[in-house]
Amino acid sequence: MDGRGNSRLKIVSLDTELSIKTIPNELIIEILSRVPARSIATCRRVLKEWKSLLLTPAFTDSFLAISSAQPRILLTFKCSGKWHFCTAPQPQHLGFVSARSHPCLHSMDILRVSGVQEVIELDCSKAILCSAKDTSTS
Amino acid sequence: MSKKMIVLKSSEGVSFVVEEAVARQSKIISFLVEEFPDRELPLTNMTSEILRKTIEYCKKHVVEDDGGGDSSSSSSGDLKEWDVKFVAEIDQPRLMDLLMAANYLDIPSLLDVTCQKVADTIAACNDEKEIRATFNIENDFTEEEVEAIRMENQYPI
Repeated sequence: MDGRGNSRLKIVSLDTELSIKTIPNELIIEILSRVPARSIATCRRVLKEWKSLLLTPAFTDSFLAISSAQPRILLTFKCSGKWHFCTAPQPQHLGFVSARSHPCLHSMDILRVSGVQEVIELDCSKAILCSAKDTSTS
Repeated sequence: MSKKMIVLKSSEGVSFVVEEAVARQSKIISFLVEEFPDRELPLTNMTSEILRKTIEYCKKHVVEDDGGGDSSSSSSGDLKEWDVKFVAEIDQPRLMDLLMAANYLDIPSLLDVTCQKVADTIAACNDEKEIRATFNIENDFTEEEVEAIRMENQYPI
């Protein structure tokens, strides 16, 4: 909240003008890996650079390592416009649905998972993010 | 029993005398003091302000990690709380400086809290426009391109 409106008037450090745009890509990956899954889709639309970074194997690995949801999708494929998942068992996590708690090698059609809003394919099907509507308030 | 002190010099030439244990939170400094003992270490790309902040962080963490002396406030929960407050008080340009300093000096825990703070700020934004405004990022997409990405991510219902 602080400084959102007057960010352009801010005095930056004297010798360098550091902003999120000038910091190296590996640090952008460090930052974006800590963004909750539901915000990743929005991050793709911020900057071209971010869009391509979010598709790199480095981001996928870093995100999966840091994410508290620890999603473990073993296999995904797209068949006539529908995504199918095979997943390892995992706890249900509100706001982040990678698939329901299903045993290994149990494929399911995510069209049946309610509330899914956005689907992002990361790094050649290594991972897929689905952001879901937060149903806790309804 | 006197503690070994080392001298860190900022880009403005200001010297900071710190306990070696404090400075050794940085893996780079830890390496440098072994290679060059009894030398002051010039940190030419760090301003006094950022160096002071970094030292403040390291001081807090070295006390907590030792667990010695200060038994009243040494739980990891307190330390986490302190970290949150520490980054909350820093404005955005300086937060970026501190993040870069943590990366440059190789202080993993400081890098983690600063990255997390930036990530939380991103997550608090409602859309890409708000993220750009918050971080003073110039849009390099056309409206059509943004829409195309939105459609790509749209769940097909």
